[in-house]
Amino acid sequence: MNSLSTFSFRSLFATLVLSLTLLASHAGIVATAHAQEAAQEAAPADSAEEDDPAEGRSTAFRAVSGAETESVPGGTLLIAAYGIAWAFVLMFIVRIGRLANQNAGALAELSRRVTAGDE
Amino acid sequence: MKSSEMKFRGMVLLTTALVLGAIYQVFLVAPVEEQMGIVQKIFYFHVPSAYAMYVGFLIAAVGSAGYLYKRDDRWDAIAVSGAEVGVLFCAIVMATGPLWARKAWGVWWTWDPRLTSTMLGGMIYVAYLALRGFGTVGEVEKRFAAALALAGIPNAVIIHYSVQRWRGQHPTVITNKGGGLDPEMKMVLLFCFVAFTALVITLVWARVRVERQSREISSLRLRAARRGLLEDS
Repeated sequence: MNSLSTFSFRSLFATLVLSLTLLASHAGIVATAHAQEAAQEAAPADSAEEDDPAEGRSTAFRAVSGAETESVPGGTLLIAAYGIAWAFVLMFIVRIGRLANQNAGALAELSRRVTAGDE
Repeated sequence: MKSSEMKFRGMVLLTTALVLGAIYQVFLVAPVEEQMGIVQKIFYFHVPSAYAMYVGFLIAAVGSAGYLYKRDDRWDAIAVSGAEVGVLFCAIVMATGPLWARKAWGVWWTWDPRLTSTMLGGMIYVAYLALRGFGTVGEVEKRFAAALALAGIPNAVIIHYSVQRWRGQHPTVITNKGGGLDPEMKMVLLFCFVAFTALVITLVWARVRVERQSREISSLRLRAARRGLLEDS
């Protein structure tokens, strides 16, 4: 009975994780579809610009005021990416090490008890 | 020292050397990309991590199929190890991707087909591990989880072909038709692929060893308990 309730809890949790993911994916796809529809509806208004392709690609360049700066720091993002990646790998290695230590401890305890039982 | 232990230690040393070599290559050999700048170097670990994720998920599926066919715990240990390593690399992909996207696309996340299917793939194997993670795992849980691991494989195929079949923002650099890499960049990427192949093999190997040890200890404990050897004196 206990095993059954544990299994039900596990199944419920796994189902919940999958359902939330599917829901989030669906919401994202619907949002993207709406955005594309909105873009298509807006297209006729821009069709006048098709007569002059240059107008369609018009972009305004503005000079920075003060020191030249980059809004998205590439170096920081790069360091963050490599830091996170190796932190994840190291955490996994530490976890394997802990499990191996637990096994060694359990084996030593088992050996001690079996030896004591034999005596 | 046993032969298998020697082989494992050799593999760990080789992997460490390759990974250090890969870091050296990425930061000191690979040229900076013309348009994106230094942030493009995320690519050298992001793409091999995605490949390592596929390998992990595939090992989980093969282990699960083996378990369903033979009902042998050794296959189940391989499946669990593959799923854990697959989820690890999926987490790396999902963490490094947005950092690249912030610079390239101006947003951390978008519901692009590849991004969405990768997230879904990761969650399938997180659900697999969640199913296995609570308390004692019995035969029913193992079979249910094995089916879930196999169900994740079609999604892995969708992840791979999503950039070719559907329009999205995720770039395709390694293709037969377009894209392309500077020769120096290509060499560094190939080196990273080799390093990550060694890394994924070593991590799965290490995890399988520990998982099998745990199961052997559980089995020994059960046998000792049946003989009354574990009663407190």
